[in-house]
Amino acid sequence: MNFNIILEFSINTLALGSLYALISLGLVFVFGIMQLVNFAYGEYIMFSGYLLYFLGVFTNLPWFLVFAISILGGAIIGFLSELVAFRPFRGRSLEALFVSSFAVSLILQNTAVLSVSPRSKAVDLPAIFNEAVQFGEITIPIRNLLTIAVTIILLVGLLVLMKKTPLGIAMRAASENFPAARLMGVPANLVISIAFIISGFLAGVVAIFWSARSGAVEPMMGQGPLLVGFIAVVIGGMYSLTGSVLGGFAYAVLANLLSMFLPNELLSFRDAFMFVIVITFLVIRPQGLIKGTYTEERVG
Amino acid sequence: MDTLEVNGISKNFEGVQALQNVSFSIQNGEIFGLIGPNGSGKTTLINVITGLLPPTAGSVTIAGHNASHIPPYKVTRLGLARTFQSIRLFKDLTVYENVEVGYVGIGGKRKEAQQRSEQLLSEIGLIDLKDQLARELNFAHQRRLEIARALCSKPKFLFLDEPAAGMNETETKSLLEYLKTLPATKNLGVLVVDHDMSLIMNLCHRIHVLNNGTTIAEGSPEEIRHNPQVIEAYLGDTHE
Repeated sequence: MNFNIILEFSINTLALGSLYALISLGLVFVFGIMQLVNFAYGEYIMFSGYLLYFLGVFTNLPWFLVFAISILGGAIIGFLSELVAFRPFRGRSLEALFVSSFAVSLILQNTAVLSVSPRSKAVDLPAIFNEAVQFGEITIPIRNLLTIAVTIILLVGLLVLMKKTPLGIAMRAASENFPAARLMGVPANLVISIAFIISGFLAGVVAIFWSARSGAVEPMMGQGPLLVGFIAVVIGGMYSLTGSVLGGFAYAVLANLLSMFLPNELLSFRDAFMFVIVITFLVIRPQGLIKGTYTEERVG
Repeated sequence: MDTLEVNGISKNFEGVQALQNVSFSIQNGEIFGLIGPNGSGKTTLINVITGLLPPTAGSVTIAGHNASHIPPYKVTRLGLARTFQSIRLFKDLTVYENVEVGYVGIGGKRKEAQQRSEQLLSEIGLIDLKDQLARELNFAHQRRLEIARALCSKPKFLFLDEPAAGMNETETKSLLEYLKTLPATKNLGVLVVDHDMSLIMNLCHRIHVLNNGTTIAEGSPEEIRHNPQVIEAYLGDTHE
């Protein structure tokens, strides 16, 4: 294998890993605070995807505005869903929250089916998303470089937010021991709302790159990233933000390596191989790559 | 002068009366002890005071502000900070960040939080460990860290829940010396709950005794020590 192939593989894997890392971060932000696996997360992505579609096809807004509004839309749907579907059940059973997240997911999916169409709609993204650059002998899609750059910026931004700001410290405290954080004066509603806003914001960013890969949006488009997010989070460790990022990259490396080395006749079973590896890993290390800390006590 | 007032608190749990008309007040500058045998209603009372449980009747006020039927974080923001019997530090945050949470938790600015944390950690003797994760500290240091974290919010009242549990004699002694200075240096009132009689007798200016959900005595350590009801209910039949 020559150097060029390795380089191309590395950059493309890094790009896929970046996207997966953003997906799992969005899941873990909410999970860390509420211990809730939010099944509606995929639909935040879908919702932002449809905003992209509508704004791109039916308006002449400049691209940066289309992107900004779509991402903002993700943050807003995250915020609203918490207000309407999760807050009323908080402090009851975790199962109630769980069921409620399924409900949000189904309602949003079906809204898209009924109000737009069950079929996929082509998104109109800027040309740069479909171009590629040539470095010597290798070709890299610009989309992949953008994914990496945006991910780096977001990770640094989130790192600063979580490490340097009062809100970030309060959120880290709350995700480790929610009841104790509340007794230190941290308002539960504020921290939870912020977690959902960040989750929705990340979903909005993911929507751009996810729909750029397929070129279209459809009502079920959130399910793919949701599954990716689950697996990445489980690999990385459910209670650690860093772990979820690592999990995203690990998943991408694994998926791309399998695609590269599996013989053609087995390629359609790639995911089966993937899951066997993941399950084996979890048998050996059930806590994931990074263990993280959490308390058994739930949001009360 | 600030006062924490507990006015006629009663609490029922589906027919079981856990607390019946309990009243006391804690002044700024004093160390006030709350004791009682297991099942006497101490924990319920603590939960009512800190806002975790609403009282069935009665009220709590902190420096004149109503502190019952409001969420726990608002009680903290009224000026009641606390430590926990089972240590509840943020174990994956550094020692320094833990103390900061005490201040940013109540909505304080980061810069002030840093100054206060620095100051408190020096005072309580943990400044050299400030960049360690809280989980790496030994038990006695963890207990001290909880006190520093509570003090960082600049509380009017500090509630200590078994502050020396699990400490050895030397550690307990030096902790008590420090705690005794707090009312004057930090201008606050202290509420201590503990099973350790000698600790309570040594530390507190006034002691309130609960049994079966009602008040059976209140007074100085000397008075409590010789109160026949207390001896019967508490000191007499247990060796705590």
